[in-house]
Amino acid sequence: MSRQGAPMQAAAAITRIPVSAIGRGPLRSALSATTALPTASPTASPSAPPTAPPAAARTHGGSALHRFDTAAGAHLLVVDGSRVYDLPPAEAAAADRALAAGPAAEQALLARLNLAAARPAVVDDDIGTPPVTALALNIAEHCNLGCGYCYADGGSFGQAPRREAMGWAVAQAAVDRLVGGLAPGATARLAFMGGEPLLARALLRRATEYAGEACARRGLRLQLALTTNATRLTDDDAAFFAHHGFAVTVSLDGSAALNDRLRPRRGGGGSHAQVLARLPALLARQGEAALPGRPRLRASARITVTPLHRALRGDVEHLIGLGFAAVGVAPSLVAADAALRIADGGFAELLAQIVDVADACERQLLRDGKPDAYPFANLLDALRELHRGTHRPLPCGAGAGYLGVAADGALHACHRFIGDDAARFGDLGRGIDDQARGAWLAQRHVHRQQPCASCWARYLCGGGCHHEVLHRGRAACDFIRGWLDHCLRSYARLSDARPELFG
Amino acid sequence: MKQPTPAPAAAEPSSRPGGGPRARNRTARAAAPDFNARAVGNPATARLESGVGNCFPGLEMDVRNLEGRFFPGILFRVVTQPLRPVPEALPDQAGIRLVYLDYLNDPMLPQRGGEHWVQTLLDTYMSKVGTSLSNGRWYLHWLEQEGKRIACSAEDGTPYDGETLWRFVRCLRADVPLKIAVIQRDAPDPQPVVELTGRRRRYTGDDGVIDTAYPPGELTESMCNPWQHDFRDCACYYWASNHPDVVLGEIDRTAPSDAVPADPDQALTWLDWLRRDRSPAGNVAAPPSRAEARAWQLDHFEINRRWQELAYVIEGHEVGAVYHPPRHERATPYPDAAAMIDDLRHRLAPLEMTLCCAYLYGLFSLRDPAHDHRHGAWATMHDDLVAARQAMTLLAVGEMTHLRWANQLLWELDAAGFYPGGEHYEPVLDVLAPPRLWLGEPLPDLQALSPDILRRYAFIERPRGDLDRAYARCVATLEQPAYPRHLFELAVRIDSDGVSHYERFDQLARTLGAYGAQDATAPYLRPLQLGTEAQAREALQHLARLMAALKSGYQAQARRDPQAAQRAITEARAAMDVLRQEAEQLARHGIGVPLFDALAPAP
Repeated sequence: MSRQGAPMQAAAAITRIPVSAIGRGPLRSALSATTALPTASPTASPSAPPTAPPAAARTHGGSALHRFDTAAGAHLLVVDGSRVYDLPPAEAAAADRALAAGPAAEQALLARLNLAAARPAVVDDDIGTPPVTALALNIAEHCNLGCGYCYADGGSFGQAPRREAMGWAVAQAAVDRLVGGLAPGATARLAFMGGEPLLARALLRRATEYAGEACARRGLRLQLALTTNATRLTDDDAAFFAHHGFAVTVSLDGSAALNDRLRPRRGGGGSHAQVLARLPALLARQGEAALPGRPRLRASARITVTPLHRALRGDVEHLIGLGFAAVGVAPSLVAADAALRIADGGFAELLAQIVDVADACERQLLRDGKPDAYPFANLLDALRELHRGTHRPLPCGAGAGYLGVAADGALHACHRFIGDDAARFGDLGRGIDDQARGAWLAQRHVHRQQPCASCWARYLCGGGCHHEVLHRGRAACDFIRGWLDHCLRSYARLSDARPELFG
Repeated sequence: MKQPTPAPAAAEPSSRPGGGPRARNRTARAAAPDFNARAVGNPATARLESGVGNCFPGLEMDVRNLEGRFFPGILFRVVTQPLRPVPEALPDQAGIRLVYLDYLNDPMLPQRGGEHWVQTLLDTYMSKVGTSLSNGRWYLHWLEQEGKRIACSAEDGTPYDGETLWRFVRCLRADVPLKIAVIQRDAPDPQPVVELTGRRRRYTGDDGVIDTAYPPGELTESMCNPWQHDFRDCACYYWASNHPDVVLGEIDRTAPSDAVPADPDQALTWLDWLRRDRSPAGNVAAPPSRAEARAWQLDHFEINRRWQELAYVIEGHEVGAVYHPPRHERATPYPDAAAMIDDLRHRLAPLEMTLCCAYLYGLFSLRDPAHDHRHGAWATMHDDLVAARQAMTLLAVGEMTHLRWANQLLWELDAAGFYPGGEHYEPVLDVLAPPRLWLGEPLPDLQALSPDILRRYAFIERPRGDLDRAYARCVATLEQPAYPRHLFELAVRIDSDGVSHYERFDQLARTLGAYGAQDATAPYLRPLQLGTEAQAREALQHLARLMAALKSGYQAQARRDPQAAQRAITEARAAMDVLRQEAEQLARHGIGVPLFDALAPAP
């Protein structure tokens, strides 16, 4: 694994969360295969206020409500159940007063408006230990690039690097365990990470074929994913990924200069030219027919945003222009090199940058209603989730439906926690330690996090990436709220102007 | 990625002044106490109150088992006389039998606080009388309500059958005192009788919930056998009516043949769908009656094991392992909606009326075996004429359906705003103006159905012939996303409806062609001549009334007034019936109704 990215979303695996009806608009189908890796939950700085939002908007959030305005009028987010409403002006004023008065007044307002639910959508109940439906295999513990922000520290996760990749026995055991835990008709998700997984090409191929057979025998659907730096990508690899229906995420940071600065080869020199030469083979095969029952190849690009990114929109548009089906950004928050992580004071600028891209995406959608024309994954994902009213007690599926498998067969909450005993839940040999897993999930519940318990964004954010929060604390909350507020307003505008996108 | 469907109307303003909050996203809508906002869930058809609930015995539950507990504290069961009782069977088993007492947990019999009759009844059950009811064979002896008593056996003592008695129980009222008597049939004479007073149970509460007296499983314990069984035999024919009795054989659709199948017999022999012999050797014509066919069909035990050998049937033909939809050449769409509307108004709808009239005229040209007795010389002509008249009626009705659909396409296109500026839907009820040609070929005319003519009609209606593809351009046009989807589906229905017309005409030609003459002198035909207006005056008056009612009905449909439409259609049907009788009467005298002249378009 050679870049930062938030853990794989496997929201459907979290059985306790009441998931609202699946939207049927084209936005959903465009996004459902955006990437196996979701956008990171960005963290924000507590000290620097976000850049003031446009004058027409006002954001104000309590613990049960959040108020926001667009040119079309006043809106309300009811935190319980992530419900979005439009408010008549009189009620908008009342809501603002209630927010100023405090939580009791907020509840009273909800009751008066008939918006209080009989029981809360997210409960304190024990999350339990949901069945595991997704595994990320760390098949190569080394990488040929030396990106300064890598959470995996070049693949070795802080340990002495080993040149040998995961052994076949471990990979096979991982697939067996994954498949064995699923009933016919279910979907198994397998991702290959590292280090750089293409350095363990033989294992990747073999595990893919094996998983395909195992799933076919058991009547399971299979979704495959890969995150790669693409420096070793061959035409044959591209054909293989297309044939098996992979979702490939390529870590790229933008223009040539940025890439070469941020993603150097070990031993010196930039990697951009090398990657660019190899990309067309992959991008051209997107949409090719795969094996029956598999999704078609989709290639996404992931930018890790550092303080060096000063023109993020240009970087995103550059990658869209190359032909990626989706482009997403994830802020670098826990890089060892301080110059490469967003500092506490840098979140305002980050928010401005990401909003700039989101605005461009929104303009495109308003113009022609085609998400494919400007596939900025961060905004499109957010729009989809807001429309569905997703409300979750956790930020992602880590430890719930999803586990990361280390090269030695140890099982961790996700691929970022490899090597971290605090988030280790057994191993392939002895099985998943459900007690440890259950305890970890219970303690990560957003109701037990601070300052989340009273934040209006808590069920949209879920508490933030576990790994980032545990290493750095919650430095990015204002940024997250600022971004979500922007997405809420964007959602209100787009669902009025382009209702056909949402279903 | 799917193209987004066009937004139907301008988006509503996001706030309604004076109204409450307006739900915008999915969880908000789902939480709203707004009955117009339906969350995804079980469809209405899955709910008990909308169940089919036929009573034979029922689909969700055996409705008869409700009456098993019609009297509080007792479980009765209906016992019917077996078809073939064995000599060793106990006598007098038919009737309504007391199975056991069950009064401890009966909600109608609370231990405390009930009405006076409740306590009396409970005391009876708990006494020696109750003990005696638990021994021996006790049967319902009589029922009495409001001073009327119905005995459960005939005067000579023969007990009525249980199903007969069940009907009496069904007639009981729930809110009025009820007295019953039970008699012990296996005791020596005089057989003891016990009288009990109570009320009939209310089977459901005010909210429709079934009374809790019924333990789990009791209401469904006598349900039908496995569904495979029912496919073979179902006494109410519900399941059996879900499969065809006879089907046509599989046709090879992978061959790119353009017209008639090379071997007509392959596609035109009616096979028994339930035949036991599924090999090609078993593809013989089905016997003409069910009794004759029975011996060759899958039996109950066999069908439970071999149901998967039964064939899917699509468009009347058996389909093998893989269904190849017939390949249609893509027709060119019309350049615009106006061109399509013009074609529908001036060619396609009038085509349907033309065919309808021609087929009706053909129907009237066939002798009616009930009235004409010339068939006496021909052993089979009676049945053949009955079948042929039936077939022609169905064909004519088919064209009437198409006419309605063509009009419906037009009025829906108007409703959706596709009519050219200023114009609006007007019902199309004319025939084509002469010369009545279709792509250069003459259409069916008002003439008798001689075998020659029948073969011509079959040729005209052949699959992938010009008539068969008449609506192909409509289908291609309406498939475009600018049009509401239901119009495309309607067009597809019309377009794909023609296959059976060809088969019917072909069969008619073969069957009726066996009577010797191939022209209008064929013995099964009436000597029909096209009549004048004066000769057919009355029939034409009925026709005019019919057309007026039809026009008014279509207009009512177009402006979404179903009640007015219903009235108009009812009147049209009445006119049709009288017209038919009048036309038959004329035809018996050799006069054919000049339908084309009456329905010619205005110049």
